Amino acid sequence: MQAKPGFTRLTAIALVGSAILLGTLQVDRVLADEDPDIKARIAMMKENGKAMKVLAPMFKGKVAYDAMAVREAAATIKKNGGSELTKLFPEGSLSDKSYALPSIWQDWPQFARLSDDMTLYAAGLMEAANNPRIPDDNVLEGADTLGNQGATLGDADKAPTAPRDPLQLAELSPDISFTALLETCGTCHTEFRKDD
Amino acid sequence: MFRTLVILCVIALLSGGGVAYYLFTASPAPRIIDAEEGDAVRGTYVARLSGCIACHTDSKGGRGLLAGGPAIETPFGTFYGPNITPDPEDGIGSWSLQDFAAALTAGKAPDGSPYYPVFPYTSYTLLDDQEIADLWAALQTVKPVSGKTPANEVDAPFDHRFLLIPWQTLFLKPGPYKPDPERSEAWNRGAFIVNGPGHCVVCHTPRDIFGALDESRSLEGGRNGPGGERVPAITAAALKEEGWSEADIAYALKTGLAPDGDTFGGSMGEVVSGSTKFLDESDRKAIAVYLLSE
Repeated sequence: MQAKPGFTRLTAIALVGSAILLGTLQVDRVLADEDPDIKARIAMMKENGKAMKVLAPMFKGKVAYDAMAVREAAATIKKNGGSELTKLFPEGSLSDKSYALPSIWQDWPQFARLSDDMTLYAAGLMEAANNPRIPDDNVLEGADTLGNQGATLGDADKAPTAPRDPLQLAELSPDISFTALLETCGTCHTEFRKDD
Repeated sequence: MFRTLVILCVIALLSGGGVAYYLFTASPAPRIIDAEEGDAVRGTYVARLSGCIACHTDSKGGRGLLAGGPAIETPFGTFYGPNITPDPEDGIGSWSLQDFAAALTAGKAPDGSPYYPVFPYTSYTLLDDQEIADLWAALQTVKPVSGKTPANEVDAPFDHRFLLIPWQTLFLKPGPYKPDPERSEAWNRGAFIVNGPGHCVVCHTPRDIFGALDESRSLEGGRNGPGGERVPAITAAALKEEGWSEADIAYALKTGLAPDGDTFGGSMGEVVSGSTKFLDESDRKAIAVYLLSE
């Protein structure tokens, strides 16, 4: 199984050539996306996604609930919210790589509020992690008028939301904070993220 | 020779005329509703299932609940979900239950003019009579709000509304949903929701050049979602390839959270926040059963 020496040399040259070419392409890519804020916030969202991947299977009941792991993952999300997130969105910071929508700067108070909520509910989740779970499947529905008996369509815009008081959240089931956190992510992605 | 040509021309004209006559007169007739008095609580559930709020409410624009929606951009033009509050002038307060049923089952306004299929009557026709009566009762509980949405801006040739009649003749298949006895109850419920009131197919199935759903590519997604969004494929094959289980689908419909740790945004975010998070868990599971079935 000995390769001809000529063939080996040629292969080596080709490999080195490809490596250089790939390297150049890689550099181009990085240069094209140089905006450090955009890079930092994409990395931050990936980190949040990773934390969610730890949390979700526990709240879904796919894996055993582990309060310590919940606190750890929630801490990551807590630190990434509030001004840590909004400071990475200077006005007009858009690029091909970024999924941000210009509506962020048209409705900055709402964007900032959702960013604060992210920290609020992640902190709530940390504080509530050891509280008893609500095994009830209808945590979300329970927080909505429409899920309650007798409510009708006319009440559809009066749905109460989770409490915003950290002390209250700390007393409740971790499911309340987790659900509110997910709603916060979803609302922000719906209003301010381009879905390709 | 000349005579043969003339005869052929006459035949062609007559049959052409016959086809045109058929296309312009044979669109499905409104279904006559035979139901008990509608129940507003049950109807509220039908409203959630049908996702009425997302297209008929502009919460950002400060219009009231169901008082008219924000612009919906499509490859056929820009549409505005109209005011469907019980306001007699600007809403549907002067309608009868039968007018309402004609809109849902035949895509026709009370004056008989056809609606654009951006109003998904091709799906709502799968509702049964009682569900339509219940939904009608639920709409009566909404606060009347005056004011109309802007006129639709439709691209040619569909700016000629009469062309929608042959469109309906060809592409509107009247309901209600007929269960497949070979399949489970959950599968049938899922099929009813996905193709009917939930109208998942309206965005997730690509359309042909006539703007009709291309059923040979059912749920394969595409690039022409609302506002030009990319719509992912949700066929059984695509979902399985990305590792979605039944539990994952039901959970994502409840919370917006996908198995990869991301939460839905864009239009699907609205579907979750306005519709699927309010459903019974059994319905979310039924959707999952249907989507993952071969």
